[in-house]
Amino acid sequence: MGQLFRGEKEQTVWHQITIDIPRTNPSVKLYSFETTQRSLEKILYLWAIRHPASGYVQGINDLATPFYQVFLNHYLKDDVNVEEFDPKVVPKELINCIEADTYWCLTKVLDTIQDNYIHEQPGIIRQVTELKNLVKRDEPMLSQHFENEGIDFIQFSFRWMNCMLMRELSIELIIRMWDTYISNYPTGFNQFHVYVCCAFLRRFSDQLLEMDFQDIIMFLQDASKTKDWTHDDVEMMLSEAFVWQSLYENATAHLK
Amino acid sequence: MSDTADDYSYDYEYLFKIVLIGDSSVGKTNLLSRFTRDEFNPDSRATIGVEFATRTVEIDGKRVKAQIWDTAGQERYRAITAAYYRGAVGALVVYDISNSDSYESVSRWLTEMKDHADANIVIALVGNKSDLEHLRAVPTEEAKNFAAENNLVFTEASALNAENVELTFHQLIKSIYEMVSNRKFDMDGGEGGATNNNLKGNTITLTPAPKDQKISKGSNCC
Repeated sequence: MGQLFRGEKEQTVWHQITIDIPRTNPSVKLYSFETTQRSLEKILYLWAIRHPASGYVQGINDLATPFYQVFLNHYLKDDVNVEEFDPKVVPKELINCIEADTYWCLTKVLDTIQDNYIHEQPGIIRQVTELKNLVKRDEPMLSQHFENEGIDFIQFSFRWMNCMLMRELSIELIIRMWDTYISNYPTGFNQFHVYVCCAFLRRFSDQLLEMDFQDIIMFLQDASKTKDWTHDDVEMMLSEAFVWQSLYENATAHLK
Repeated sequence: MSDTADDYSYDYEYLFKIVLIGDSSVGKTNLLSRFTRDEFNPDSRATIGVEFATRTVEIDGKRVKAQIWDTAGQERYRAITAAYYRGAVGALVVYDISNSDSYESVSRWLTEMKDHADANIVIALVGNKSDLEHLRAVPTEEAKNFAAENNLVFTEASALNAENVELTFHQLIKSIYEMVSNRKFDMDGGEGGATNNNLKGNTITLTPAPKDQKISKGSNCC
């Protein structure tokens, strides 16, 4: 891809991508293979140079992976586990198709959340504020408890917005969840996601109410709390989010 | 100086908020996990937003709890991470001894601190990945001199083999302790009142349990 290195800015983008690729989804073997890593590199770099207002931002690497995995899986036999699969045996033409499809889908998703990745990340700030307001409305005790403990929503939910909960749930569950997001296009990844984050937080309300500042932060930043989650847990969370969204949608006064 | 194994104990007299900053991939997250949990993870994902961990150490017979905030290194996150400098009494600026760009960024990180942190914040500089001697790109002397000129505590350490990690954090915490006991952090006003108010506000909210408040009330808790 040397011909695309036009200047210092591109070099910086390329450098950041090459740092992040090897540490993408480290618990899933698929992402440790050479072929996968080169594919992701291409996809992310092309997206970044075509979107100079944001460029590549850490976390976008995470967002490309559910698509890559789904499209790759499409070509595999049923008994093959895509998460363990080394795509080096896949013909080049097919890899090109997988890359193109991933690039296209990633682009469509990022189109709806581009404000999340531009200077000062205003999209994320807005989502975090909306989440805070929703919790205040739906879960006043938790909201009050957070306030008493000095918890700032951005301290734990910045990552939820920046990585679309990919750091909190396994990629398999994310694929299930994003299926619903995509069916709600174009609002799935920005508006509906905030309701999902609220439902996610509510799942742990009882535990959180017993914790102090330090334990709350440590608990929320630790991904192992969802390690036993199944599709049922995700579907419950999505249903709850859907109910709240239907109730509050276009009723902005509720959130004031 | 001796440590206590119990991180979760509320029995401490000082609470210091410390921020970890530096370029992407210099090893901030692993320095923190080595210090707080004695762990190293070669596959750790890029930190997004902030994450934190704590450890309580003993300095001059006093129990000091370090609450250390690990930040994302990428430029784009600066605007967000700057908000976390509020209330910090210490900062550890990290570079990678095998990556000269990360060392050259140090002055930018220092400017960042000047713009957003309390003027009295204690800053330490650490060259991480000292295990990569064969790939060294930043001479020890050069970094040492730079640190001396800028009044920074300096060490080289390795989160991988644990060399000097204890020393790095202990030196920083001890410097903060000395600064605080000399009352350079004037909690009740003085210059930079706004920042001090923030510091004070944060300290109160961060104090985890009512019984701490009792313990810390009589001391110079910061």
